[in-house]
Amino acid sequence: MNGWMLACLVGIGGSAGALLRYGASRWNARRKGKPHLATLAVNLTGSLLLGLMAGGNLRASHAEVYAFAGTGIMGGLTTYSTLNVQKAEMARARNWRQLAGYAAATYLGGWAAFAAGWLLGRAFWHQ
Amino acid sequence: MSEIVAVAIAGFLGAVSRYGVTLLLPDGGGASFPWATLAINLSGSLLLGWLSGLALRKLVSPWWKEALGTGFLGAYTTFSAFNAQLWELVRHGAFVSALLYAAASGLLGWLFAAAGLKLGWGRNG
Repeated sequence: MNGWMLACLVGIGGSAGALLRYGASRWNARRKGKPHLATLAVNLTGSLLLGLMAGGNLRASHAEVYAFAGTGIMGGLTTYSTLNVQKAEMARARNWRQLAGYAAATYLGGWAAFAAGWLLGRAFWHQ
Repeated sequence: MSEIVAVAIAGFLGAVSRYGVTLLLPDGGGASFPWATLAINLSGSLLLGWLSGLALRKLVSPWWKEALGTGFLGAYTTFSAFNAQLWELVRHGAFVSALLYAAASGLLGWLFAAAGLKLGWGRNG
């Protein structure tokens, strides 16, 4: 498979991931949830699932599936820009307690979610 | 054009742009430092801060904010790959690189977003 095809797979996956994230944030807003909780949910979910793929060594065994589902969907579903803008807005509003809780949940949770996914993928799915 | 279609198209372009940058810059693997993803996440945070500031002043419409912010910049930046690279660095014993990578992503990313917000807010900031 050539580079343009891989880029296309990344794009289609990224589009799907972005739509899922958009849907999650709209759903959360309708339920009057705090906006950063939708970001936290997609970031943790995406980290867990990318961990599964990385632990299962998907990039080496099925490069095109990894490009679509890993680089594409999980890359598009998770986001770092919104996370940083939310951190900056919390700091500006001097919501230090909320900022600390959000950062801890994101970074420790993201690490734990990825690790759990990776170990599961390595144990049950490694090729 | 509906917002959903805009997010879908912009998400495609954002993910492809991210893929393009990872082909141009070294992007981790084993103990090597993930420069590409760091550059993507920092530049995306600066731009989203700027866009959010402009949107607060109503210089950017909600439609463009969703298309460029949620669609393009949301898909361009990534949190899952950040965790994957951090994991790889730790797994290969590159603890200093892992620490630097986490600090640069978390603290510099925050500063870049704050600088972008200030830029977008202009004199109201």
